[in-house]
Amino acid sequence: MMKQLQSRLGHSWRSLLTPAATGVAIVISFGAGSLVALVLHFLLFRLTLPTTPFIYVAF
Amino acid sequence: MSNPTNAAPRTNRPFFRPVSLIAGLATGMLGLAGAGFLAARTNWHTEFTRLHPMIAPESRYQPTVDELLAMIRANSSPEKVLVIVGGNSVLYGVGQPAPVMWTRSLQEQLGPDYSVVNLALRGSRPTDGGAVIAEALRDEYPRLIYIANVPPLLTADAIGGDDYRFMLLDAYYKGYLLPWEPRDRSLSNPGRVAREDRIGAWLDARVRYRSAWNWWTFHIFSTVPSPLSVSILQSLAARGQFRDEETNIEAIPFSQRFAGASFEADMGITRAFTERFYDRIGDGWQMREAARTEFDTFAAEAFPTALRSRTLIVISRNSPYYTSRLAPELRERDEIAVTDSISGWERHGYEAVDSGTNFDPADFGDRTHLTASGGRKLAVNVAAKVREMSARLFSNTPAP
Repeated sequence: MMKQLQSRLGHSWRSLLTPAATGVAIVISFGAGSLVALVLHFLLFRLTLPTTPFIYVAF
Repeated sequence: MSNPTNAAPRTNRPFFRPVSLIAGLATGMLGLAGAGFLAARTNWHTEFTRLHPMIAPESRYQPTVDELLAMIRANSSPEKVLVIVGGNSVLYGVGQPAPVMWTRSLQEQLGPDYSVVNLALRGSRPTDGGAVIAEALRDEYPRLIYIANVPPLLTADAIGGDDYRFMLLDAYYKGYLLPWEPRDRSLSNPGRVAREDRIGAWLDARVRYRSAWNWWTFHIFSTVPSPLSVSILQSLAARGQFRDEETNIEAIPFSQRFAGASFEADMGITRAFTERFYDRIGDGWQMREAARTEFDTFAAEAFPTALRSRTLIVISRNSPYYTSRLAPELRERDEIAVTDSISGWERHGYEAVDSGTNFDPADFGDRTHLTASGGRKLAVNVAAKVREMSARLFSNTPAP
């Protein structure tokens, strides 16, 4: 369907994006980048913890 | 066929905009680093007693230097003499519930002009944890005394033990430590400190992931399950919900404390406590040259020279329940070792004190750990030395 429409119009559907939709793409890209930062930040925390816990026993 | 002149130019532009994506990544990382910086400056240990297992590496929680500094700043005025207690489980007060732990007695003994903070950690060395915090606060609290304990003739590595080295690396890469060649040399030696640990601490000093996620772990929920918890829900609960619930060893009847299979093992350790340091010569004991060299080497490198006069090393002893069963010559050897340790530490510019000879068997919960009654005696013995140090070191040091 999309391909038919694209072939009829002769260009990519993305070229039909309005300026508002472009703004949405920018916002979503920015949000995705922030999400990646969150994941990276957490991974740094998580991966630098020791893999085996320190065990202390008394009595 | 469509008219090519009316067609819009063909584009394969991806939905995600790289510039926006990278801007989001950079902004997100900056925001999280900022959150970490802010969290590090806030005291969230408002109910702090000591570093109990749920806020320590046993539960996979690694307190940052910054969060401990914030806790001390919130509770201790620089106008007072700040007494930071480091060392191992003996000074932590294993077997002493928080209301009767020995550092509370020490605070009572010293009075309101002093502020005692217990940063001892189970299984740690004199140069671990508390020592790092004391060094970081050396200028902010000019009237500061650091206390740690160690058995006779054992000293400390300049970079401490593996389990608590994260605190040393944390302070090192955040610029809190003095330059100290033996320590700096060991820290940069890949055979002593893993490269990934150094890279992790270096990155943390820049993006503060540990401060941010420790805050989250403490307040919201733990992203890392605690192996100390019995259920999954409890293992993920916010660490701030947990209190210092130390076992009261005095609740165990005295007759049961030293019984069982551990008696012979502990008796063996007590017999060999100072064996490797001395030779029997005639009726006396002589320290082995190798032992003296080892002690001197480690004591000379353990702490930066400038901090030694305000560092008090408490020489730990075994319970009299065991030492009273030793042959007289072995008891004599242990006494000599305590005396030699004190003079050895003092020779290198530290202060040192015997933990005490006035303990009864009931003052111990096992071979090494004190009960609340033993803790009170230790507090009296140590307080006398702390007051003496304070009078000598700080009588001319004005409060900031």
